[in-house]
Amino acid sequence: MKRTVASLLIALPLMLLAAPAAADDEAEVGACLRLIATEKMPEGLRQVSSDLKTLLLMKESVYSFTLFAGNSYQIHTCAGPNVTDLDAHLYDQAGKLLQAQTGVDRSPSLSIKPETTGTYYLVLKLLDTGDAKPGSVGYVQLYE
Amino acid sequence: MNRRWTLTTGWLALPALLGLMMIACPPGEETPDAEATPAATKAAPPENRTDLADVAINTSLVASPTELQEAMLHAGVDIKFGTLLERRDLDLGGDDKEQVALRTGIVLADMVLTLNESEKDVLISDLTGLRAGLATIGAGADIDTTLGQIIDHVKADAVSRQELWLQVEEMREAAYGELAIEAGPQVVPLVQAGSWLEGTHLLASAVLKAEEKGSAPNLLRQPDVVNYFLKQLKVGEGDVSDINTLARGTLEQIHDITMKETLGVEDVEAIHKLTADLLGKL
Repeated sequence: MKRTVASLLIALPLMLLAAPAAADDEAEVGACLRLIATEKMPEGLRQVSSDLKTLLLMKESVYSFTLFAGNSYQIHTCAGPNVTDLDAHLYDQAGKLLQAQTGVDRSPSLSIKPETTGTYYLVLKLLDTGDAKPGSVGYVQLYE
Repeated sequence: MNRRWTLTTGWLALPALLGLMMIACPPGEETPDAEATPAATKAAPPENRTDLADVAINTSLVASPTELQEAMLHAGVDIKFGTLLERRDLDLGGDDKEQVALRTGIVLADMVLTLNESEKDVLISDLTGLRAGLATIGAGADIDTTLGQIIDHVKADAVSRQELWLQVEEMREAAYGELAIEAGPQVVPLVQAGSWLEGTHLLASAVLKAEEKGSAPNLLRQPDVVNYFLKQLKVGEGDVSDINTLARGTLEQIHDITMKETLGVEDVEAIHKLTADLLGKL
């Protein structure tokens, strides 16, 4: 307990120092996601969902959403300025891997036209940042 | 002056330096190599995962109107939600925040699912109701101001319905974030549950009304979404409100139905009745 309190006291200044940078990165990722949604609108693509997070290296964000049979979907990602490698994996309701974008890429994208209506899972995994610091990543799901 | 500044800076920086040292060399713990550095060569993602439902954040609990309408068309159901929806006169004030949270979710679903077809006056009425509900449950001044601006844009015909959808989505995300902090952990899941119940009820109504149902009943097969609500609404026994208990009871029954491999008309009828009964009590 003492150690927890002591750790918190020590970590607090670090968190305060890191917080503005993370907030700036998240704002940049959010702007990137909004830009994609806006730019894709004339092509007939409509935003369904989006989210963003700041992740530690080698950590992942998992999102679930319902995809409807017969509809076409695109998933685009954006990453903060320090992110150099982000992977995106798509799983079906049973947890079976459907697609994986695993190249060295900071903004992978996926597309799917599901045959069955159900829950699908998007995994965003932060593989590398140039400075070994946490990185902000996000996705926007579009419906065609 | 400079020396004093340096000393002050030194004292301020000391905790941060100590913190860095603690992170670099945590006492009595092994260095988490795998967590701190990227792998030299990438491991392929697992072909199968069983943990996803437990860790996932659900981000699309209410389908976008065009998405759901298109999915219905693919399934052979050509019915607009606006022709099915009977808006209720819901009290969006009062002290019972959990009740108002569910009602706010209903108003949100009504607005979103009829966004492309509703008359301007109806849309303004929906947005005004949403604004009142969110204010009651504690969404704060910024959300109220944003919704006020959105309403003004609609009144002035200064925004397309698609742009409005994006603005409402952005406002909704911000409101959920604020509510989660300001109004307690139960409020956001109740808003989401209200929206999902209303949307599910409308979808069930559309499927039942369609002459050719085809695969449309399966559009309601969303057990993981129901499970999400059940987990979110489950809190310590002493903290459970009547409305929370009521909603969970209905959701548990819907979950059992939607676990089936394929849904039939009788399943849609059961979901339609369960959602109608609960919505009628709100």
